[in-house]
Formats: sequence, C-alpha cells, structure tokens
Amino acid sequence: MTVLAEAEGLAAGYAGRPVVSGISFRLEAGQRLALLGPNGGGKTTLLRVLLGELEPLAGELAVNARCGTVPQSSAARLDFPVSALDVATMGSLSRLAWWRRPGRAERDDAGVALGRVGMADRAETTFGELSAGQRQRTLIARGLVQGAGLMLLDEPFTGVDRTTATALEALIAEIASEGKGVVIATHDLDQARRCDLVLCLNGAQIAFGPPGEVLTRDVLERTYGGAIIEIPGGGAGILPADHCGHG
Amino acid sequence: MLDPFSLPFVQRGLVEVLILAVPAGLLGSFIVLRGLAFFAHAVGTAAFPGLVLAGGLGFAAPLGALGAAAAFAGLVFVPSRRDGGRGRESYDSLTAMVLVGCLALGVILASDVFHSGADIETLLFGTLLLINHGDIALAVIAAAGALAATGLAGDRWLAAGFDPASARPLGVSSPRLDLLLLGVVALAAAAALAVVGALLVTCLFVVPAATVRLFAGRLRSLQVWSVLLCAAEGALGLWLSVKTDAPPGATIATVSGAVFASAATVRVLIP
Repeated sequence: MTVLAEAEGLAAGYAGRPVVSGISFRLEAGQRLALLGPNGGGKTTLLRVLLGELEPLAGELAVNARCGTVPQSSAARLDFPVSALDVATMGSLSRLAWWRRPGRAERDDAGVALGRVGMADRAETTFGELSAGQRQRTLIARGLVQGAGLMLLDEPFTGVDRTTATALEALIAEIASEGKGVVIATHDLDQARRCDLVLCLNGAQIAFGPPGEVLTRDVLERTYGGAIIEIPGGGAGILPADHCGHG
Repeated sequence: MLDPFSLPFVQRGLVEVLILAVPAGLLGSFIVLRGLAFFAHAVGTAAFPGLVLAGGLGFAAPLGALGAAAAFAGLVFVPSRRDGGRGRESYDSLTAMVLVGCLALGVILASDVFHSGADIETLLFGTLLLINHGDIALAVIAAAGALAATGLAGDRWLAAGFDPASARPLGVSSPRLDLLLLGVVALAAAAALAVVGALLVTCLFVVPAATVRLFAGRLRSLQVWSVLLCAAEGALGLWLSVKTDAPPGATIATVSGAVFASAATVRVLIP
C-alpha cells in the first residue's frame, strides 16, 4: 500500500516550544486516522505540521500526497460574498499557474465535486447561508477539486446534528474507499472507534493503532487527564475539557 | 444645473475622479474583505512626508507620494511576514507604528526643514480643482494596475481572505500575492492624493465598497457596484463643492459618508 504520511518521534509547536511531541504513526492510502485528544492537546498543531505550515521541531515527517484541508467551520469567513460553487472552485487554484484564473473547466469540476458531496442543488447558495453540515460538505468538495490525496479535517462534526454527522461520516468513508487518506481531529469517541486508526494525544502521543487496541480505559484516562465518567447502566464517556471544574 | 461641469478645471476634476473610481472600486472590494481599511487610510496619510519632500526639493508631488507610499507598504509588509503573516492583527499593529513614524517625519520636515506649513492643508485635503495632466496620467496608471492585478490575483486574494487556515494548501499564501495587493493599494492611494488629500483617501477606497458590501452577494457585483458608486459619489461631491464653494475632497467624503449611513440604516431596517 502507498504510504501517504509517516512520522517518527515528531515534535511540533510554536516559537521553538513543542506543543506535541513523540508522535509516531504511519497512514496508508484508503485509511482513516482519528486524532483524539482534549482541547489544547495538540490536534490542530499536528494538522498544521502535516500541512507544512509548521516545521517539525524534532523527529522525522514524510507527507507523500497533496493535502486538502477542511478547517473548523468557524475558521472560514461566513460573511464573504461567495457561493458554494465559488468555494469549491477555490480548490482548483493550487493546480493552476499563478497567472491563470479558474475558467469554465474548473467551475465544471467544482460542480461535479459538489454533486459528489450532495450539494449540487445548493451550488449557488451563499456559503454563509448554508448549514454547518453543508459548509463542511462544501469544504470537502473544495478538497476534492484540489485533487488532494490526503484530506485533513479539523473537528468536522462540531456543531452538526447527529443525522448530519452520520451522513458526513459516510461521505468520509467513501472518500477513503477511493484510496485517499483521511485524518480527522475529533472529540467524538464513537466516531474515532469507526476509523481504521486512532492516535491519542495530549501534549504527547499516548497511543497509536487500530481502535480496538488503542481505545482502552487506561489510554482514554491518560488522554483526557482522568475526565472519564461512568454512565449509569454501563459504559463510559468523556467529560469535555470545557466542562471540567463546572460541577 | 450642470453648469459647473462646463468649466474646464471642473471637467478635469470629473475625469480624474471617474478614472480613480476604477481602482477605488476594484481594490476597495478587497480592502473591505481583507480587513485592510486601516492600511488604506494609513498609506495615504503616510505619503505626507513624501509630499513635503517633493515640495521642499522641487520634484513632482506624485513621485514623492508614490515613493513614500511604496516605502510604507514595504515597511508594513516585511515585518508582518517575519511575524508569520498572521493577517489583519499583524498588519494593523505594524501599520499603526509605521504610520506614527511617517507622520512625525512629515511634521518635522514641514515645520523645521522646509518650512512648508502653508501647504499642509492642501497636502492633507487635496486639490481636485487644480488637477493637471500628470495627475490624470497617474490615475490612468493606477487604474490599469488595479485592473491587471485584480484580474491576475483577485481569485487568490479572495481565497486567502476567505479561509486563511487553508491558504497554504490552496497555494494562495504567497508573500508575492500579499505584496502585490499592498503595492497596488499604495499606488492607487498615491494617485488619489491629488483628489482628496492624504487624510481622505478612505472616502474613495473604503467607504463606497463598504456601502456596497452591505448588499452585495458576490464578489463581481461588489466590484462593479463599488466602481459605479465611487464614480457617482465623486461626481456628486465635485458638483456640490462647486455649487457651495466647499473643498471638493471634504465634500466627496461627506457625500460618501452620508450614503453609507443611509445604506446602513436601510440594511438595519430591512435585513
């Protein structure tokens, strides 16, 4: 299998100070990797180093595919005068020479990508008027137009309802089944469980491997600093970091 | 009613303001979208020492303005890239610091070196009724530069402003693209100094685009209507200034401010 991204002893951070360290993983074509950890645990920093926005502070990192990114919804400007089609078309800019503008062919590609993510009928809707799930789909379409072999999604399920999250998850699985790699930063334990690989981190890597091996109570307690709660009737859940200390 | 436009010097002023509406509308759209309103205001004001130097040393004022504006854009751009190019916050703080330095330099040059205090009002508020062919030529160059730059880089400026976090993988985070935007804004602002002066550049480059921004749903309509509104406000302000014997730069600023206030009120009342 083609290795899309591989890290060994990777550390990354800002101004020479590591935010995450000891990261070692390997992602092959067709695999979905969930980055699981609390707020401030280093998930977004790891995505930024994969994108090449940050240089590794230590260790080795090889990224062997063009990266497409789906940022947190709040990162994109909802007040911009752009349609869903305009946003998807932006994906073509990375493939065009600097003096070339997207033309009919690029907009056709964007229209096809929007159709693939179930957004064909909203192509002309202003991006800021779309629902959170539709905005995520549009940004995924932009990644498809970009020809990304590795899609990096930063908390794509935040702010979307359960039905939309399930539909998004199915779309992500379909993209992976076509041989693309997908990295998903998430808080959602259930969704992480359904990925091929999970990397738990909280400032440093806690564990990496298939969810069946990695998602043990011990690993989750170390990942979330012990904020695991028993659910009446059996099972356990993660108490989000924002709620810790609020009684 | 249109008597003022039969006067040759008013006609030249009208031609100048209509030409400047092109760069003002095209670039103004990106100025409001990318949060560069403060930079656009500051680059005009920062050209002040260049104008004082030109007057004191006897070379063309537009050259002085252009040189100072280009130096200002460079001074803001270079440290902002070292800071990681974090966008608006980075530009704003640097813009404020460089602006203060430029104003201080201009005041010292005007008061202690060239003793050109009497010209300061003209430098700061413009002389639309004393436009010459050189001013019109500079406006044409600024319009051509804005057309070429927005044609080449407009889609990339839009994509970088829309989603800064994805600018790098989209290939739109190039320093050259940011420098091009700051550079053409500096060129156009320098060209506008003759019309509205250093302090009122904002009324051409920010206010019309900000007004249209309240209603425009797409970039293309924002640009087209900004050009048209800027031209209309410029022509109306010029006409009013002749009719009322008021300074043209300040009159255009008043007209554009009133139109913005009315549009914002309409937007609030009819969401």
